Amino acid sequence: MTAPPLDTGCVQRLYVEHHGWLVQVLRRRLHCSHQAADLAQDVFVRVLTSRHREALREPRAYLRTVARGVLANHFRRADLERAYNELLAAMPQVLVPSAEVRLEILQTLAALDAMLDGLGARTRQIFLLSQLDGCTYPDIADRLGVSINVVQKAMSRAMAQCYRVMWDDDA
Amino acid sequence: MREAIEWYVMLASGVCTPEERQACARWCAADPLHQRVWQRLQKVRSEVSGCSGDLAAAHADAVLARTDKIDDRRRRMLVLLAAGGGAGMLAWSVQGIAPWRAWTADERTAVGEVRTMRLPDGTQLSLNTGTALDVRYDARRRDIALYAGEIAIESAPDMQGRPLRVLTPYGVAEPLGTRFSVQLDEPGQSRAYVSVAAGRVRLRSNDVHGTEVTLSTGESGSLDRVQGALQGSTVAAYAPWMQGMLAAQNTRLADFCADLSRYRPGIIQCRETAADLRLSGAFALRDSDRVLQVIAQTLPVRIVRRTRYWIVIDRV
Repeated sequence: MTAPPLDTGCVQRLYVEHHGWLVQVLRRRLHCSHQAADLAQDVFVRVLTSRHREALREPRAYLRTVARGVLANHFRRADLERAYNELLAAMPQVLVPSAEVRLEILQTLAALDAMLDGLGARTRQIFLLSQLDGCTYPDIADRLGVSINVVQKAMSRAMAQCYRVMWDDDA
Repeated sequence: MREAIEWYVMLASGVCTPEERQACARWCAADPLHQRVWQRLQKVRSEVSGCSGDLAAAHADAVLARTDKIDDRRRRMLVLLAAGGGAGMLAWSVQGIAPWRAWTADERTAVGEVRTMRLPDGTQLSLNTGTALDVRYDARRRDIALYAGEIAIESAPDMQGRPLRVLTPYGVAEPLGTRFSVQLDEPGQSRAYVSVAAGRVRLRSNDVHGTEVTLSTGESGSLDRVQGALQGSTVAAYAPWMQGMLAAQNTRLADFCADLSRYRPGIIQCRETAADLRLSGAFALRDSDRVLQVIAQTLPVRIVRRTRYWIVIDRV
């Protein structure tokens, strides 16, 4: 017997009954009410857009699970930004791009991070050299000291994962 | 989808033939589903390269790898010192200038390598041993960011009137129609040492005081980490490394060895007892072992090779 889908009415009820609690939970992890409120919104957006199809017997458990994902993503973005700032700090001041460009770059980095998550360092390097620097496979093979076959396999792996990450439904 | 990926990977190689390209186009046309998947794969590319060329693969790799390390640290609550990476694209250091900048540089020379290159505007750029730099030319400027090592520049006047600058961690050197050199890797020094063969160079420090000094033909100066822009003494020999030589003028043996070390892998240690011996002459860098032999013949020292890369010079 199929359970009713999570419709807007459900979500609204979820919001009214559990939003306050969720913000508290998040604030304990983030030490900041402002961020907690923002992330609580993200949690509900995820709930709304999810394809979750089961009735919620344990709404708080479910919200906690979604929140865990949102928090992990948030911390990861913060780490990414910190790593990028360290990179900028070590550059000659004059080469640091403008605030707008930095923001764009950070967003691109976040996208890359999601797409390349879990792939090994070498696969990642191969993908970046090909897609960001426009290197040919022979060049990449030369530079990293591997065979062209290795480069091709790495690109296949990376593209397959990128596709999955960007369109998580089936083709 | 597997087929689509195979086609995409082949076309992304940068070396595919027109026949292969046609075969791919035929595959795409064969089925609307193929088309859709293909377009999505294209979107992956545009997603990452929409950054107007401001993001280099090496930088992205450095940031992503570093993020992994930061993440690990958060997860395991251990303090990690980020260490050198596999294919040499990533290296960090806690103290001083982060060596990763050298790894992500556009142009590098290996230890002992000296080469000259020509930049788009006709400027001749010579790179000494262990140099790493970025060349940033665009519509408004000609910048050379020096991260490590030593360069000699013979600058060409620019049709578009763009200023030429050498950026160092300690400040900027701006030539005014010149031949000059900038050195970052003097052993034991935190400064950029500049000597001018012809013309004038203005040095401007990066620090809070923003001090300035202008050097003329035959003069030397430096951008010091602490003291800012300084005037130095006249130049005895201008960039002898460009002729493959290393010069000594009543130079302390310890200082000479530190300098020679730059041109070979490993280190040359000079014991206290031998450190203050004085050396003069010009030595060919092509064969640094021979240089050591000559030193052993002219000075009361002996060369001890602990390992291939660890040489100790001791007083006899």
